[in-house]
Amino acid sequence: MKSEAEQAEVRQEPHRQQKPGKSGLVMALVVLALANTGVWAGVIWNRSGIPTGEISFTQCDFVDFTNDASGSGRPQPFIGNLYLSIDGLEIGQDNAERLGRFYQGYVAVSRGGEAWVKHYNSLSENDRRWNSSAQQLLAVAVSHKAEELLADYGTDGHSAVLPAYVGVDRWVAQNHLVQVGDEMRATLSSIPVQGEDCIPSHRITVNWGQRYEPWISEVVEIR
Amino acid sequence: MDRRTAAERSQQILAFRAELAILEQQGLAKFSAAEGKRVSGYHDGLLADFSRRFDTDLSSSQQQLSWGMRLASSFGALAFSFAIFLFFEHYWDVFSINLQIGLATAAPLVALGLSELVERRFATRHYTGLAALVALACFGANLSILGEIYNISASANAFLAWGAFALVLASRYDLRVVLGLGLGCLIIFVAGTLTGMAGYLWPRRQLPELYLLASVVILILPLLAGLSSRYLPKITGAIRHNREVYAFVGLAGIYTSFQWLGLDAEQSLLPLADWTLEYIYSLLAFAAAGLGIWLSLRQRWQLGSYLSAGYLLLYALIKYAIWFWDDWPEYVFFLILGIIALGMIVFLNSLRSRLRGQQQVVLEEANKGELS
Repeated sequence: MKSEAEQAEVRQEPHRQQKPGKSGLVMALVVLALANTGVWAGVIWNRSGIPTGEISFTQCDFVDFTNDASGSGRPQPFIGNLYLSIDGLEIGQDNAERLGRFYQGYVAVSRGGEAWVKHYNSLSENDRRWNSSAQQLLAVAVSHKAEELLADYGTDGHSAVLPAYVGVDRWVAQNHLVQVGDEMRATLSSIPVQGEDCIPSHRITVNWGQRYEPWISEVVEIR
Repeated sequence: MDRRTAAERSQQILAFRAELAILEQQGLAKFSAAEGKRVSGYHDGLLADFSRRFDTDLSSSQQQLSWGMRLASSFGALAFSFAIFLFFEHYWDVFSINLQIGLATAAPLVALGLSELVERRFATRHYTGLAALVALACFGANLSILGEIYNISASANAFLAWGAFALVLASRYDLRVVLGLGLGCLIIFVAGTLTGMAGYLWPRRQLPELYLLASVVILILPLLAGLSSRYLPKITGAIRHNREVYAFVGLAGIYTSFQWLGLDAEQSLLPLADWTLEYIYSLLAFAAAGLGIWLSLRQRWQLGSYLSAGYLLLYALIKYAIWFWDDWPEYVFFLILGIIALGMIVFLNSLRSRLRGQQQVVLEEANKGELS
């Protein structure tokens, strides 16, 4: 795959090799700087201003779907990382509308809302069994008509529309990992793992920001 | 002159010497002592110069060792990257968040500095290639770790950053593997961005047709660069210089997309029944691989013909197993498979004979031209 010009160049007397200048190195550094700056700018923008969504819960609201599938049914213990039984990707009205248009969506809302009840009543026995977990606050609704649940969407601290699990088997709920800051690690690590007779001891608040990316904003002890 | 040109020129000199030795042995040609000494001295000077400046091989045994070193450097880069990853994986939870962020940010900078140091210290490509691959892996970890710590939504833009970084490293140190990885990242970036623009949530929803489109763009980029060489001559020249890498990555992307669609037609964007899509994409896959083999042979591009033939064989085997394994008795399945293998040998042999005939005609015409 050589052009005549290149073959002619090969036949020529070699020139002195040019030592690589600094421009390539500078460009590599610029790429690194730009990428990291972009990430940080996104994080700062996400956490600036009033959060677009907030949800708070105790350890008793946790359901570990992975463990459910394996049959143990134990809630995820609080360790360095906190696993939520929700997916915080790209939450928001805009995406929720797109969800209705394009996606076969899966939505998490607060249990008991008007739209939730309507939706729940329309579920088959099998789907109801899936939704009859012990958790009190969050419910994962499996719906091919995700827009039915948009009425429950809000930023009142008890509901969030989560367009998640697109293209994933409908019975698989994927956990979203929310990192725990240093200052909360000790508190969260000390919260005991509890089963069905759970007595809430801590309340955890998760915020969603301008880019609909979640973070744990508060962990308080319930007295 | 760059490293690749020097390596090719060295190979050319070594081949010339070997052929001349045979011709002299058979009494068909012979330099006079003075001519021989002059040519030999000139070539020795070139080889020594190339070896000193570009670490080129001076014999075929050195070339074989170089291949070994190339493999070792790739494995080494993989091993170093794993070692770094596993080290941090082991101690990660012990580190504070700030330390995690600091380490993730500093790692690619340190690795880049190391690459620069290695490039200046050693003439051989293998050490630089290894260091550059580690730098790329560190940059991959850098963005991934920050994304995980801050729960950043998955975005194809990360692949733009990784691709751009790989392209810069490849251009600076003349590294083809790194260039290939960079182009792969750009394919993912283009496909992921188009997926988002189409209203789907990447990477949860993948559209193989968009990967196919991006791969075709990479494949024909050297052609486009040739057509527009008057604009941005440096960039178009660099693209044409590495056209084999572009062709390899483009072909690999096309074959992967076809395989994906042929085996999992549900992922397709086209509003057709799955079985229809499966047949359409299987036919296209076979046609693309056949075309790839033909073009590679025409261009005398060995790696391309290996890739295309390997893919054709692999895909044919997979489809054959899917279509017939359940329906046929095992002995019929393997019997037909053997017959297909025989058929392929006959086909490839006839292709080889035709190519040999064409080369013979070219040689005869060249000889006639010299005589007249």
